[in-house]
Amino acid sequence: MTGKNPIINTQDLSHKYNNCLALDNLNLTIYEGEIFGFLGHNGAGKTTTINILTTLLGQTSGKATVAGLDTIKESLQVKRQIGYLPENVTFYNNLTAFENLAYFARLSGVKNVKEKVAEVLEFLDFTGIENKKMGEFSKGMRQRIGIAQAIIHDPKVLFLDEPTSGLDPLGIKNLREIIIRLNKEKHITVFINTHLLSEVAKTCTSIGVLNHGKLIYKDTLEKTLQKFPDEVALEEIYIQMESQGKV
Amino acid sequence: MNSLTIWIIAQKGYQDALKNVLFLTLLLFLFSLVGISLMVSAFNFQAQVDQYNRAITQLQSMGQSGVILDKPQYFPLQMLRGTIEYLEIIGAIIGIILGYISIAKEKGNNTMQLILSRPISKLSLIGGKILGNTLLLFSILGLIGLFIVFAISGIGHVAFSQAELFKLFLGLLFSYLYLMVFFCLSTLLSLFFKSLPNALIVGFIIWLLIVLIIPQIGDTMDPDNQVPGGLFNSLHMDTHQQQQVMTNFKTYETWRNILEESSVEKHYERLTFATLGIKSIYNGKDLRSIFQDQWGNFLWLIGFYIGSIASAFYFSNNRKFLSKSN
Repeated sequence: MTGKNPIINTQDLSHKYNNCLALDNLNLTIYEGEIFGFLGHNGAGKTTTINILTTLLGQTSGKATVAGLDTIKESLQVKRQIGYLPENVTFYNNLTAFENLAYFARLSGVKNVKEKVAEVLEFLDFTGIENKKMGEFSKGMRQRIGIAQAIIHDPKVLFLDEPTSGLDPLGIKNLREIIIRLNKEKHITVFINTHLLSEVAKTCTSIGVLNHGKLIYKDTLEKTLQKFPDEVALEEIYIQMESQGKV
Repeated sequence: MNSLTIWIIAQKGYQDALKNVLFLTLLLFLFSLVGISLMVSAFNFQAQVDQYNRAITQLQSMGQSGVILDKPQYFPLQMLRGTIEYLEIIGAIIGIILGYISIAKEKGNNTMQLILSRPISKLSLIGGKILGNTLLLFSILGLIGLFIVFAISGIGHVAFSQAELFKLFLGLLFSYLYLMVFFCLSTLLSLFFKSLPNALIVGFIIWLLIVLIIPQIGDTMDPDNQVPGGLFNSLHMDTHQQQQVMTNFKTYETWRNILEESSVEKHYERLTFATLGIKSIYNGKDLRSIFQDQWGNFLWLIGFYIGSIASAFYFSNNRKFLSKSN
């Protein structure tokens, strides 16, 4: 389900690391209810974009808003509206799943922590693991806890950075289902950074392609699939787009 | 800054440290050394008292009850030399490890990004870390304080006076200020370095310089330390004569002093040794006269403490430092 209200908007967003331009005048609008797949090769600037949108990093120039709030001037308010799962989080291994989730819930200002943790774990079909230490969890289980901590405060937008990285096929399938359920049942807009085209095709409602910090393609998945009817063709086009630096 | 968030982070920091094997090992090592040092001192004193009592009994049995023997003087705070020296060395390492656990481990696990994506400011985050570790250091030093009182009065059988207890409290408070400097140093290094093990290594190199090398160079350069037992003492020179001699070494002494004063350890040691009367010339003196002499070291120690806390707040508030992609 997609609405017409823009929930993420960037205007000429740029970021430099020393003299290296990581993000080059990014203009991007994502609408409420979308599952947006942000594609790009390693080092394309995807994580930089997510870091700016989650207020972890300040841009060198340009403007970014999330839920209508400026990521620099209203960073605390932005953080109340977002959930974030970075790539390769290990959590606190010496704490239980409940202790980990309770800590992040309390930091997010959740009042009824115990009930909320139970509710989120039930939504993720992940009950009975509350008292297990995080150190005992598989990568797939960690990702579920990662999603749980990201949605425990009912955010409007969920940012996932390479969420399928290191997961086995079953883990990838489970995660895909969770993302779609979050979008449909909890009406959360999802922003996914990935370099896996197949995942985008199966999960997202719209896609963007970033190449060396520049947005070279953005459209809905529907229109994209009309243009590139089969996945193999889509992949070839993606590689072609990247090599040419344009559509 | 949000006080509830600061408290949540402080509690977490406190609990994290108590679950860290390296920290607990170092703490156990510190407690063992402090315990051994205190017990050896207390047993030594007890032996002197026993010897005195035996001598009195012997004299009495010989019908010499009129002979007056000086009873051994008991200065419990003077027994703390070892404790303070262990706090200087191992305590500082504990401070470095606590700073590393607080920031570097969170950065390494990517949990720092999770924390910073919550509606909390960076000032609240660092405030919580400092509060949690302050409470932890208070707990450690409080336990050491209790151990000192019970070990010395239990073995030495002499109670502390109120003035001595207050001096002990001040000594432990100065220890807190000193240890927090190392905590903040390690925190800052963890913020600046991309490679977290490098932050720890640099922390230890600085520890080596501040705690061992600089004070050692300063001590070695001290003219009075050139002869065992003290050069001036062996020449039977009084303070006035010593000062006269030292006027000929003014430039040398100025440089030696600059070198020593660049180390926070020296200020802590001088101040604490004076307050506890470990340095003999201050033993039994009241606090006012001690502080008349030691206000410079007190200001230096406070200056190092405030400077390091302020730096931790200032640099952690720079949005580049706390994210992994800096």
